[in-house]
Amino acid sequence: MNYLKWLIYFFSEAFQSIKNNLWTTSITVVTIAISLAVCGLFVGIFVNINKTLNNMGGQIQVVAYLKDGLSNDVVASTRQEIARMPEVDSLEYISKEKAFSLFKNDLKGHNGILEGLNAAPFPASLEIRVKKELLRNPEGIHGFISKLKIFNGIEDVQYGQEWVDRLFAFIRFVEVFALMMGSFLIMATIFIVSNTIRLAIYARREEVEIMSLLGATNVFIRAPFLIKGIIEGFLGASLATGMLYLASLILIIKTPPLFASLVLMPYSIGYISLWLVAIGVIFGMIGSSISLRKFLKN
Amino acid sequence: MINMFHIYKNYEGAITALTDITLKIDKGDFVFITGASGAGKSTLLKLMFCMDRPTQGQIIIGGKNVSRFAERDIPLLRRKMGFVFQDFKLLNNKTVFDNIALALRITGMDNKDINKRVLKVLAYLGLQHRANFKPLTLSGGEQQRVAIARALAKEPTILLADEPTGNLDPERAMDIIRLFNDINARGTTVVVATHDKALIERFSKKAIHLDKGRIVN
Repeated sequence: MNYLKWLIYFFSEAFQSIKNNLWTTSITVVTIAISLAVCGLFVGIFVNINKTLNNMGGQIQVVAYLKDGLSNDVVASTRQEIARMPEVDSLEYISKEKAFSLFKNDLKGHNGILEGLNAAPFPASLEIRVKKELLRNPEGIHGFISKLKIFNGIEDVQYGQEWVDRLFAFIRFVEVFALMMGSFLIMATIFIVSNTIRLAIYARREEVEIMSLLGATNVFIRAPFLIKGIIEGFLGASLATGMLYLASLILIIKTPPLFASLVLMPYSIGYISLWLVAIGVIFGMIGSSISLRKFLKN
Repeated sequence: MINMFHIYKNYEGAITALTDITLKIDKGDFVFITGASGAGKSTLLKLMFCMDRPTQGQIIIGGKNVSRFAERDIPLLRRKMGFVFQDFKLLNNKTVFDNIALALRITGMDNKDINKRVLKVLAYLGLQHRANFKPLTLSGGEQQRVAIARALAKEPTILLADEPTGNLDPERAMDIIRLFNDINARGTTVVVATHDKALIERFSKKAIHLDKGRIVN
């Protein structure tokens, strides 16, 4: 019962303080909102770029060309063995005849080129889609290729090595860049938020001092500030969610269709607001307790 | 009630505020701490209230060595003591009533009991009609009485006052000391730091005279 009474007191003090310091509270809330929105925008774009790159990785197709003159049994067993490999997602057998007809299809309207070709000139092949896990690093795909090459029935393997290596290098660069930028942004956000709250507390340092002189415990002094910090974090995060939503709406209209996937909200607005509110509340809490600790020590 | 043994207090830059202070204040005493500005009166009171720690020596209050107190024990000591500050230290955004109530609220007292106690102490100091005023709308003398009311509300066993008459005219100053005298008559140990010699002469009380941080009487 005593705890409930104190909780009510702490909350009423926090709301009273927001009412009495509307200006500093607004500045804190807006600062938290802008910091979180910048962070959120960055994370959103990063997630989208990563998704796009991974999708490109998912399109990597490995083509294993079969030797000419293999018996149907050998072809069938090679197919089966490859299909059973853990790296393989799906596999399609392209016979010599099918390869030729696909080629003819591609050259529709230029039939003259094909004149004189009466037998199928292309080797039979297996078009393999590899599992996505394999695409996380270039070593995975290289290892898979060398395993394929060991098969007796396979003449050659193609997978656009140069393109794959470049894609992986780019994904790695984006990840490192995002990690660095993300760390800087988070540090800057914590710094800005805790300093804004510190300024707000500094304005009330006399109150903190007087309460301490009257015999208030640190918890008693800290609780209303902490609750106020949490409320500010919550309001800031809500504002940030609105700002991000608005920004994404504007960006979708203004961005050319080719890049539209980069500015789409990667998750539902509810999910994003949940995260932002959690981060905002934690930032508000950390910010106010860092600032208070300094004052209470004095 | 208050015992100090060979207290030294030095500040940074080798400034010596107190040198070898040994004193004893008994329960129910009324003691003046006197001396010129800078003699160490405020420092002495601050050490008693754990607002600062001695560089050397022991302070025993109510049988406890407060010079060795952990940070978390200080609030409990302060709740048993009242301190009237020279600059009042009132919260200007709260009413007189709330200023006094705050000192009780931090002890976890029930709202009903807080109301009773605050009204009682306001009546004692003749401040009932000022209960809903903010401190800055009151005169200096009234603010001083609010500060005393806040210190008294806790029903402390020891009341410390730092230059409580410093900002008042002689008539008001006399009223305040009479009030302390009355509080002392009810059993509270009172320690008043003042440089006002006329007051000390008028009330024949025990006096500890400080000069450059040393006791001289």
